[in-house]
Amino acid sequence: MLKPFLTIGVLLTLGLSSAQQLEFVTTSLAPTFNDFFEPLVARFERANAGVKLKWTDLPQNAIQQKILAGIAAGNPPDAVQLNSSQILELAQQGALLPLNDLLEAATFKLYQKTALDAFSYEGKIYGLPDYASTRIVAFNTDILKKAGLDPNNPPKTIPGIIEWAKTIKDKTGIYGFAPLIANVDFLKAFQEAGLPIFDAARKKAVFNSPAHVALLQQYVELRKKDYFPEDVMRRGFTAAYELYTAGKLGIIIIGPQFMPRLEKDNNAVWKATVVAPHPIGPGQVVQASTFAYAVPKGVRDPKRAAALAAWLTSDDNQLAFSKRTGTTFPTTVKAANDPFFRSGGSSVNDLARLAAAKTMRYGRDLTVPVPNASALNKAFKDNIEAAIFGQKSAKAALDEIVKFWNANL
Amino acid sequence: MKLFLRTPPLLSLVGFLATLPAFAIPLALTPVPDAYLGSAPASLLPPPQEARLSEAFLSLEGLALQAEGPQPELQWALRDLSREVQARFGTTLATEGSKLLRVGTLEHPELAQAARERGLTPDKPEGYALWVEEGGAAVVGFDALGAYRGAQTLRQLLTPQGFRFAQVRDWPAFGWRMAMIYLDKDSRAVNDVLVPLLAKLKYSHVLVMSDYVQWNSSRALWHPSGAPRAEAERVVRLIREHGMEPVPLLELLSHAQWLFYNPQTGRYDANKDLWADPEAPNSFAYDPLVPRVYEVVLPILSEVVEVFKPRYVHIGHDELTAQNRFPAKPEAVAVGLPRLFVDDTLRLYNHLKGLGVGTMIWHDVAFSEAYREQIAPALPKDIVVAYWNYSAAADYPLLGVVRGLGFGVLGSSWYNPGNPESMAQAALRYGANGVLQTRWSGYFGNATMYDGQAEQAVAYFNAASAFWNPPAPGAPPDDLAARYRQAWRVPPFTPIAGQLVDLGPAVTRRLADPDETQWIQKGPSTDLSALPSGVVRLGPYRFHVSGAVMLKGARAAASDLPQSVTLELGGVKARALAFLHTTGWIGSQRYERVGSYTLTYADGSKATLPLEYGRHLTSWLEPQVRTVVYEPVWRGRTQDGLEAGLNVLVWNNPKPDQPIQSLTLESSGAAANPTLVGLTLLERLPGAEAPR
Repeated sequence: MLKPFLTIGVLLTLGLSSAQQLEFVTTSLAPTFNDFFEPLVARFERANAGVKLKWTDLPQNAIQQKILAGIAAGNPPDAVQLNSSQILELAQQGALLPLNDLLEAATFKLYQKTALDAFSYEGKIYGLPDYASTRIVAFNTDILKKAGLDPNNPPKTIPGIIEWAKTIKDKTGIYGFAPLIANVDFLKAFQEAGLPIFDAARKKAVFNSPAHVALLQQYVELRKKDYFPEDVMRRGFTAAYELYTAGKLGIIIIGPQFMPRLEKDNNAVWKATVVAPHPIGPGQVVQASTFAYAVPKGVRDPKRAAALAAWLTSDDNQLAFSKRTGTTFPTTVKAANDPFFRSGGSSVNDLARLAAAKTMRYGRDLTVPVPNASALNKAFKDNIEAAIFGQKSAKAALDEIVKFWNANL
Repeated sequence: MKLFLRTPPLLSLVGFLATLPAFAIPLALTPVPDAYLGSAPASLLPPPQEARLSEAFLSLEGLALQAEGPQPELQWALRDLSREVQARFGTTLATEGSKLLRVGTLEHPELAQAARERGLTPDKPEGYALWVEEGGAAVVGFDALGAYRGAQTLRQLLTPQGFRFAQVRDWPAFGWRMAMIYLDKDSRAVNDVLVPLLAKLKYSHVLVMSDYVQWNSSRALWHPSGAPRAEAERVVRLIREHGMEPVPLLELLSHAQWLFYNPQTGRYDANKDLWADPEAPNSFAYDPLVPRVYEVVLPILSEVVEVFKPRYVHIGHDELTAQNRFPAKPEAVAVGLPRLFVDDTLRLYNHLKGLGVGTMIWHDVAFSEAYREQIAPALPKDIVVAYWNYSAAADYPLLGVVRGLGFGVLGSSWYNPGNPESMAQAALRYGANGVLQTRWSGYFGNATMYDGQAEQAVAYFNAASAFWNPPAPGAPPDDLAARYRQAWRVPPFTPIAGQLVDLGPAVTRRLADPDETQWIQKGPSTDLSALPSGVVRLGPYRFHVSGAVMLKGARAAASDLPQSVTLELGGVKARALAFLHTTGWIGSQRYERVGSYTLTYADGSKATLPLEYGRHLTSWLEPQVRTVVYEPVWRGRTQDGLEAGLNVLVWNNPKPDQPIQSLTLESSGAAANPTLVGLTLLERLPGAEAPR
């Protein structure tokens, strides 16, 4: 914990004039977490006399643009918090600095390896993981009761959830679930089902086997019979949350951090909600969205910027942040083992955190790093949509993607 | 040892020699009279309902243009036909001649009789009859707009030999065939191309994104990249004089950032008292409970109506919860999203109705599964709903739901392959009022229609076809991107002489890859063997194709290739150079500099053209065209069915009077490695310079 902090202190005394300023950017955390970040900034400035630390928070869809604009203008922020796919995409565009040579090897050992892997590409580390959040399953008990389902005995497998979803739709006319399969999320569904993306040498995409086709075909059939709403494919989780909040969705796969928001958005639905851990399938993994701090190309002092990223993601800071959110998890080895994450009260929000904690050891950021990610991901998205919306068969869609990927890997 | 075996000796030698500074590979040049020759499009777009074409032609010699009626649409038709002839041949048609090309309507007894005799009488609004035959040609509209639409078909029958013989009877499937454009600082340069193009494609309405127009009533919000009000007025005239109706789109309630732009700070921090979510880091929606919202919005809405004189105004109202909380303030939460949405919509609807104008909205909030039961019944049924879904799909049942609730509905598509086609077919099935081809290129993104997001404009073509004639069978033609480029740079029908360069002695990779040693070393299933070789015509250009001069790149399979190659051209002069080129692999970053071409002239001077990925060249496996800087000339498939394509970049030689000694190809070593497949030197620059 102490080392990154000391490192930056040393660097600052060696290289900075007193008037200098560092800047870090977070993704969609203000104003909710102002009470965490404002003291964090003050703590940093007290420990590094004469150095100003500027905190900027941006919406997720604006942050990449901000970095690229900052690089173009010669004044990018020193550390930027992004998710895995954003970091990999920017790294491939040459917009981020690899951190391997900017920090001591011991620093990287502080983090969980699986979390660090989500930000590594072609042997280089482009982000220091900050916090992770895995998924849980939430059920609207009012809807379950209408469908004759027992809220106290929820399904423990994805196929079980699908069966419940069908029953809900058949018996109530309300959508049972809204699968998270928009954009490239089906790659995560494959991994959770234990189906490989690449061959053992990671040289060829192999996700067009009969088992892969069968999994996709299952969702094609569900859509064809209107068991999930069409706008899930274009609006993803936003559509699912909107429906659940309106009391128009029986089951939602959701991050535990959304429970406090649900409490405010529709208290009646929140009160009717029970939660369960996300089922662990044959893949023995579950998607865990992970955010990390990256250092943009063109920062004034790369080592100082990397040290700032290390300090922001230190044991103490990660632990304090996840305690503050109550629903996210640290990604350093030490902080992740804090007993806080295995204890709690009986409110839905507490139970959601505990449900997530139960599967956190299976949590991986299942983003698939590939070269030319934007072109490959677009081919994936277009073909999956074509299959789901009945424009081509599941097999033809997966064959087409695999051919394109293999020609460009 | 393995590396040596994988690299044929000749190629190794070329690679080695080409890297020596003084060494240049001498190449053979073949002069030809028609190195470039424009041609008529291979098919009519949109495809007519009924058409018979033959391989005979009506010569332009002695052919005169004549309007048979007073309607302005007939004069617009003559204008467009004259411009087509002028662009293709550099000449104009006379007003008197031995043969006539007549444009009129069924109101003209003689033309009506002539149409009847040929069994072509049009019987639907915007329908037309058209014939080209030995004695002359005629376009006869059911109405004046029909005559104008027919003239657009006739333009496409113009060939190097004259007008192709044809008999056509045609009409649109929908009365509303709308395409979307933008008003911004680049509006004039771009919309002067796009609006005539939309007319040529027989669109009937144009949705004009108008958020950032510098209205008199919004002076406090003027964005420097917004279009002046005078430009809005000009574009409205331009649209109407091309036979279409403008529909302004002013995004209100949501996507309303334009209401919050502060010219003093350059940020979106104005009118903060109107923000729906005051704690949000960015502005997105306004709070309908704040009375001052309407003091700001309604005068702008009135001015929009004053400028456009439209039948409808589209007021947006989509994706309300996409960015921030809505509702956010406690008092708004108490009212709830459905009531806030309805109250705001009614306020705007009633204002527009008072001005004699109808209202149009997007569907996704009012008709969402979450809010439909509360919002839809509270809305007036004469609101037209634009249903959008940008994935190709076998069906769009929500079109039927909206229609079933008593609303007029338009099916709205975007540029994903198959999306406009499937949307038009569904719209027809559900009895929709029409169809809308959207474009989402950014509020200030007009320039990207030239370079950056041209694929969205290419989709105007297949959408227009699907909207006019949804049941027309078959996939869209594969030359749509080339046709779009021709809207910017019309190819002449007069040949341009030039010299074909045989790259054979400089080839580093063969196009066919039977044993994973050639092309990109992925074997015969992923090679370029489908490209015709020898002396071939690709699009309007001729090339001598012998293989590829592929340069070094970051991928292992390209690591043994030369970083640069110098081609000896022997002191030839050229006005322009046409490069048939690509990259072996996809670039990781658009506009990344991946290499250069450098001309060395006889006097020792040099000129260099940097090659930027996505702007000057692109991978052979990325056939989608995002720019008109280069020209798509060949589309094919690999053995295992992957779409492939090659493009031509024309370089306007900066020193056309200086003999060219050599051309040096250089790679910067990125993943996208420059690969030259053909080179032709031209005596003239083809087409007019496109605006930038």
